[in-house]
Amino acid sequence: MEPVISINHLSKNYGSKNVLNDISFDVYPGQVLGYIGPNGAGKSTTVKILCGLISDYEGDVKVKGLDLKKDTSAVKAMIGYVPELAELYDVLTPAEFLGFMGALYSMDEDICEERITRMMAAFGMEANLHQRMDSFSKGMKQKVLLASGLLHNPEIIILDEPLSGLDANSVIIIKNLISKLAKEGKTIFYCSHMMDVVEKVSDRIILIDKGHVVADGSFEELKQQQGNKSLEQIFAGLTSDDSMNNAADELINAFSK
Amino acid sequence: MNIINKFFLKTILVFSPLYHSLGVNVIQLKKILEIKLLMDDRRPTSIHQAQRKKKAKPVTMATLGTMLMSMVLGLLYLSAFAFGNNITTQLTIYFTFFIFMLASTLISDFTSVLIDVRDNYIILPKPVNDRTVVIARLLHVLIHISKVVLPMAIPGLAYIIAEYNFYGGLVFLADLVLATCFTIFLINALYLLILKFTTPQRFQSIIVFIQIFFTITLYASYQIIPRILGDLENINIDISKNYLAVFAPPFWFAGVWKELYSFKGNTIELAGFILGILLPFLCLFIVIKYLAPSFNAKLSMISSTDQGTSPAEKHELKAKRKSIVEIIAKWFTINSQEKTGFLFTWKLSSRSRDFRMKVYPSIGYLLVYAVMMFIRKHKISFSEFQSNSSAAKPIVLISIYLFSFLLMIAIGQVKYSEKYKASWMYYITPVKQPGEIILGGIKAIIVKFYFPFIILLAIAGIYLFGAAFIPNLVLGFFNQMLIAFSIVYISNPQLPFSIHDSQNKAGNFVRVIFLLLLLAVVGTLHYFLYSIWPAILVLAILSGVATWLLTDAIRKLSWKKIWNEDF
Repeated sequence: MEPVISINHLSKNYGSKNVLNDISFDVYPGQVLGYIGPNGAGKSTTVKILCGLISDYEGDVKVKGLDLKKDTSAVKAMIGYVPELAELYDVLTPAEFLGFMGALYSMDEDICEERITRMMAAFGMEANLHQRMDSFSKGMKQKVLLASGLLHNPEIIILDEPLSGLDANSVIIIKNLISKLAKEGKTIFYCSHMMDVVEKVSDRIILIDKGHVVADGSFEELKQQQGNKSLEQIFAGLTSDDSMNNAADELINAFSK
Repeated sequence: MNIINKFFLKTILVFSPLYHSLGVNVIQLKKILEIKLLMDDRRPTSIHQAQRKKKAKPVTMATLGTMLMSMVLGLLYLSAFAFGNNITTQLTIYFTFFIFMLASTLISDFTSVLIDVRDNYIILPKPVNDRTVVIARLLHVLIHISKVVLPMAIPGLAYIIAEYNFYGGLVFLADLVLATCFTIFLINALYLLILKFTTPQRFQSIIVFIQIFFTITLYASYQIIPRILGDLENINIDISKNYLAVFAPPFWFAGVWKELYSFKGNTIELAGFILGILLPFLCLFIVIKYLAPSFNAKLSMISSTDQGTSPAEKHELKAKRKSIVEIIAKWFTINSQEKTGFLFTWKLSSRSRDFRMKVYPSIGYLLVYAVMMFIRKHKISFSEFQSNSSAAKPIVLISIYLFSFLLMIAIGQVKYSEKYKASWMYYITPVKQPGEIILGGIKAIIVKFYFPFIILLAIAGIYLFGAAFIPNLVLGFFNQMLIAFSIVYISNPQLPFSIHDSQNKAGNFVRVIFLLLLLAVVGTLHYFLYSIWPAILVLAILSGVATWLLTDAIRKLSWKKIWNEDF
């Protein structure tokens, strides 16, 4: 099968600082890829490169056979991105913001408007459609962002901590949505620090640390390699050094004289 | 913490035993006040904002800056004493300045400085008793107001002592306290009034409008008052002869001083005296008893975010008919990307607070300036104005070119936003030519902020001069478009609302100088060709073509030119 995303020997330096170091992997249609790693491992750099936000990298990134560097626009049109922090122009209403996003994707206005209404209704936010977002809770903003990432019906959906700020009901909706999207053949690139969620939603997990891929496989495969542990324990085992294990002890000892 | 804050804190804490007997934990009180004053010191104040001073360095000595500005304002109030030689009239003017300025300072500082909702999360969960919190808040308010009022009062006080005597100064000081109480009441009442008619979310934007109004009024009064004073220097008006004065609060405080200083005055002054003594106390009573409790409760809602869950029932049925803005956007743009940029900029420029704060006052300044210009030239009568083109020429040209400044300020501001991080959306979407969005945005600004004025000017001009006015107006219009677009093109074009407004003030300055030079050159050339209409017509066509070419160049701007990884 033809890979949807194909990353070959990807490296990225910020000055002398090496953020990504010779990363290679392929992602196939219908896969839900859990992309995890500690803070500063290079996760968000990878995501930014995939979204076309960073263009001066070394190596090869191909999306559906198109070179990301050459056909940036075409690649961007295939990707839906839901950013981590709810940064949006919150003086706009969801209808205006999403309409604007749709226009940037060159969508037909009528289709776009109908989709916006239906998506927001699905999130239970039809009453907020024409309300400015500056009064929204974090969860409501997150729902608008999710809608903005799905609006143009992309092949690849990149989710960066999509559950932050959502209540339990919305979390269930999103989890179901992810598996349904995967069944339709969409590829999901899921970045998160919440190991229990990653463990459940993804059928493949890539763990990166200090710019290297340190583990790659389904959760079952990882368990076979690393012993029968939870993803959290596997994560800690692969990415932390011994000093971390003593951290809790040291914190407790801080109280003693 | 600087000396001034230390001084205020020490002074306030002299009464520690009193606080202690009220059940206040004095050590906690001192800590809370210390932290609050330290934070005040690092917060840019309204005066900073009004001056549009950029905080290139982090604010550390805000207190000193505020006090210095207050002192300068206090000095300016002294101009009241140049007005005639009737002390009641002079004091009425003085108190008008005083109350107005104090109100405008307090109006913006009240929410940010005095009622900090973070208290609810930081102080209240800690084992601090209610009395300590209440007293800390009251003392903090007191210190804050003293920091504004004291320096403001010093010049006036010095004048009164020098011109009259020490007793006069003492009375004046008491008078200022009364006026301050009254002003605080005024602001409280205004806030409550606004909160009554609007949601807490809208509150902030209304406050911004009030601030803008104050800034413009201030500018206008600095422009106009010296002129009026100059005219009326030798005319002696006794305001207390007019019974309507009783309705003017500043007059009350003038009455208070007059009565207490000389123990004689006419009935109207006596009425003012009684009102001036009674009302502040009455107001203070009302504030403490009735307004303050609900006021704090309401203010604490302002920045809480859970408000938004209130559903928007009314909006639901908003039909999808095309708005006027969308129709306008269609006229002025050639494709959908450009239209997107146009609509986006149009909406955000009316809603984003920092954009309004920076652009709207300059509209006011320009209007004040335009009015002043015609007052100054009032010696030319209208018929003269119409017939004698040599006298009218400079005025007409200045009117035509004046609004370039407004255009420049708005266009210069459109790429900046506090929410610049939200610009990720331009970068992840398949936008091939960001130039189209930039051009759409610039067009929106021109149509929104420049067209209304140029249309008014066209109507006025054609009414005054007939059709002969049109070629000059057209040339002026295209010249300004040319200048506007070329400045956009050469000075780091960026997507609308996509970068942070902190960097290059130097760049701004260079742009203004460049603009002035360009306007001077273009305006002078225009001046000499003013009556040669064929030349004007040819130049207008050339200028129009150049503008068109330039918009095309902006439309073709590629990602490489505007790339910016700052989101």
